[in-house]
Amino acid sequence: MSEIVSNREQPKGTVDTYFGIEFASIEPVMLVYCMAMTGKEVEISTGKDSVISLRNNWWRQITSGNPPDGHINVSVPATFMDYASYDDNFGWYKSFLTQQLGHVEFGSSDFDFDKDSSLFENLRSGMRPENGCTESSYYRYFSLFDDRLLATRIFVAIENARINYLVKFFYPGVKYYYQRMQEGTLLALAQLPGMTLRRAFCELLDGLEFDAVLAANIDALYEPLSEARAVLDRLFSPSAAVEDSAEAAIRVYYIAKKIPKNLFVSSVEGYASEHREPDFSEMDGQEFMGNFNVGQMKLDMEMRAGTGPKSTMPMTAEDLKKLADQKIGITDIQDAQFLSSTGLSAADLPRGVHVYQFSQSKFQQVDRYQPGDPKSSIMAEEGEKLFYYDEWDFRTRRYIGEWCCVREKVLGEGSSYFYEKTLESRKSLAAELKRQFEKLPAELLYKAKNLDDGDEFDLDLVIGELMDKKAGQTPSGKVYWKKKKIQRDVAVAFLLDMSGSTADLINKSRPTMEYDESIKYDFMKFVMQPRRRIIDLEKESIVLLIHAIETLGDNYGIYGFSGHGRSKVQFLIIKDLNESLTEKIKRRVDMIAPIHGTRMGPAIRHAVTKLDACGSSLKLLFLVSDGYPQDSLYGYDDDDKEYAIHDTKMALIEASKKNITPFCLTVDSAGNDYLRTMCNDIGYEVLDDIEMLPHRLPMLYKKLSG
Amino acid sequence: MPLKSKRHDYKSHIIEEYYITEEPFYLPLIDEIKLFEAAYAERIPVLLKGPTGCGKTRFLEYMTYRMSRKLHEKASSSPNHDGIPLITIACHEDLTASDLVGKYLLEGDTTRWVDGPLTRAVKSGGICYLDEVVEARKDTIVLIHPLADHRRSLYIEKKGEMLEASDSFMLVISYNPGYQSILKNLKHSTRQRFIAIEFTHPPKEIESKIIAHEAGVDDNLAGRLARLGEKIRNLKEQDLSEVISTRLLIYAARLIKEGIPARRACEVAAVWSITDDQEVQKSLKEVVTAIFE
Repeated sequence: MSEIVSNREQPKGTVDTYFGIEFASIEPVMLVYCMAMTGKEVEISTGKDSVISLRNNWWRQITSGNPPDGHINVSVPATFMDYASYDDNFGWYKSFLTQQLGHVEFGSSDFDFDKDSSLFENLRSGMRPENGCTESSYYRYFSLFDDRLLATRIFVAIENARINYLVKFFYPGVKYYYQRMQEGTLLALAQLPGMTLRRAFCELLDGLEFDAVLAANIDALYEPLSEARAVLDRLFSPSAAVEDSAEAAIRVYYIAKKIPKNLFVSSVEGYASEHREPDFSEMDGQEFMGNFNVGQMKLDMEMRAGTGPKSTMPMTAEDLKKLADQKIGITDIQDAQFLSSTGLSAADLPRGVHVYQFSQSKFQQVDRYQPGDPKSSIMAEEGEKLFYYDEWDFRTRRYIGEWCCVREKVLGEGSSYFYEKTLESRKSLAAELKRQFEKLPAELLYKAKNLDDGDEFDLDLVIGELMDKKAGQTPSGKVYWKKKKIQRDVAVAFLLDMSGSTADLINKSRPTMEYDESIKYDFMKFVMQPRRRIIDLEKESIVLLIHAIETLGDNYGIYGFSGHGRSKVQFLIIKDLNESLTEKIKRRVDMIAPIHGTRMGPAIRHAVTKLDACGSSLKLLFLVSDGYPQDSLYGYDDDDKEYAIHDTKMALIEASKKNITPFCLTVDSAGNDYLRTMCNDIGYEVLDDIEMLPHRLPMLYKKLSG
Repeated sequence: MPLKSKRHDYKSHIIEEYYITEEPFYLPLIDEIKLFEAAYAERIPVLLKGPTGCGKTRFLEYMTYRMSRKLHEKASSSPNHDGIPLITIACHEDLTASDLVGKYLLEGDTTRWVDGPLTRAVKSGGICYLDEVVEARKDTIVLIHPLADHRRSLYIEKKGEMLEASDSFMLVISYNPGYQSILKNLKHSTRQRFIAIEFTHPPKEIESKIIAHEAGVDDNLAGRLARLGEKIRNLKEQDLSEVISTRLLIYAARLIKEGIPARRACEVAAVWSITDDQEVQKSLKEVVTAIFE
């Protein structure tokens, strides 16, 4: 039994530093966590911006007119390794996300200018807004101030403080890591000397909830910081809303305005500087105090205020790019910022743009969304039919539409020698299987009750009749039961792994000498048999299965599959559903051979499509494989095992949803490691002894279909 | 009359003499109390719909108690009236018409007719509650049709009798539309004999009060559990086929009250109980560990 403690299972595929975490490795867990916390679809993008800048992503979304509800975009660093343990780094990620989600849950974007504060007296009503009620609440609010940049800076700090308080209050489980995260983003006191007093005041607001800030006793800031702290203390209430933050920010704004503009912090705890930094109001749209891209903010404010395009229109990616080219206040704009600032979702972007594209992780090297529609560049070869299927990306929890091209083709014909020889060499097993299968119809009987005539009396019914008779009732006479046959109505598709790995030799198999009577000369009758491969056993199993299943009359199809990239998923028909057993099919079995990779997802989806078209009441899908799914770029790179497993898992779930019962049989002794994830509630079996496959496969079918 | 055993601490009731004598704890969600009272006044059958563990049965117990009290107040001249009995029948696929209506039993050389629970409810004027009614076979459900329209009568085929329901009799059925397959849906001819009151999980504030009362825990703990419930329910349709019930949250609260650490209690009551998907379990554990220290 496991228990909720801090020892989380460290996923494989983390960054080189042992305890560091690559966000992609924990993203699936975190996505569901985010959805639970907010009740909305959340897209997590990884950015290379500073942590402080990523933290203020909520404000960027508000200023850019991004709709606060519906789709939520949060940003995290692609990797994190500041702490010495995996748990600590995980805790940091969780806290960082919880903070950003806190802005959603506690309504940072729900500001209503006309709504009163519950914790403060409403000062907004006494201040004169520049414009009427048609403007946004935030625009009307910031119009109250002479120095809007100062007001914005203070409001964001105050609102962050409110969210920090509420998160720690309602989620005490993250408090420890949350506090560490907060402390990690605070400005070092050593950085203060040289700053203007007002700027230092604003910087220190971020950490004002910590006593250490006041204890530092910085020059002339002690008094204004104490006053601001008293305002924050009033704000710190479980019922605090964004309107309370707005009122608190007005009060802190007036405290800040009283601080002389042209005085500088000379020394803090022994740190001193002659260097003079500009006051933020003198700055010209460049980085603001490390926490804020003032250029972005200023521009956004202008755009929203009506000095630019109509404020109700969010900026488009093109607008931003143009402005970036003109170097108006924004530098180093990247596509990801367009994503967060324009409200575009990844699905709206053209192929070639992906949320991971500027991540620091290994995934950035792979452009999964290559330009060009795959359909236009894919040509069917002779005898092939092309089918397109979606692929499930578990990291973004979305399907990639028509991502894989399945090439369906009838397998070529060889000789029927293999088929005949297998039945001959395995004749005792073939006979046994056939005998077992012949039993099946008898096992599919059910007991029909309440009959006028039948095999035997039903004792309960007879007693009931007697009682009725004694009570003066007319007996119905329906006191018999009889066995009735249920019409077998089974359709099954066997999906055979024909990946390159099935060419592996079976360990236990050693070269053997076998006696061959057909050879003319006695001394040559003992011939060396070739060592057998996994695929040879698969072929033998199929022969025995066909032989046995024919006795039942079930509708069955046998297909081989392999992958060579998403545009070449081969789906080879050995025997199609509704096709009768002919000599041709026996000859096709001979041609079953290892090909390339194991792209299971699209092959399963195609088999499901075929089964779904059958009208049978019981539909089964058997997947026979020799290892985990793996194919060229089956995921974010060739080794993205998790991606491939999750896509396969989703394909199996899709089958279940269509009332098809999937079952996975693997001869990979390490199969338990990944099948537990891949199959979840779906049946699977790991065959320890591969030599058992020819016996086990038909028996499993008998069990499932019976 | 309840019979108290001397050897064991249990109570046994004859089904038509099972009265709700103490007021059950129930917090109204919207106007369901008014609706039920109006339906009872007009003797309109009621269908209670809602997810498992959201309070359908508790609501009915509460309403039975309330209706009994009203009856008492009205019939003050006859103080011996015990109220309205609540007769609950758990439906299942082997439930036959005889199981509901009654059957003949052998008694020596003769037979004796024994009323089924439905007949007893009709005669005694109780509230008959068919729980999870879609589980019953369709031919069995048809039996209730004449009881659920203007006729208010039960046809007892074996006795050749037509039984008119007592004045205070009322039929209530329930089902959870969430996990029933299409095959097990109610027939329209049945559905259209009932008004339907739909229940959802209570909002966080109300659920918190319910947890605090039912488990006897403080408001802070109850509030946190209600918050957990809200978060888990956010995953409805996405990663969970059935979300957590108020009942499970109460169980978690009780375990905590008995000294089980909060995170552990939530794991066994609120995570493992609702999903076997290990990935979803991991995410839910992160929610639990965020809410509880």
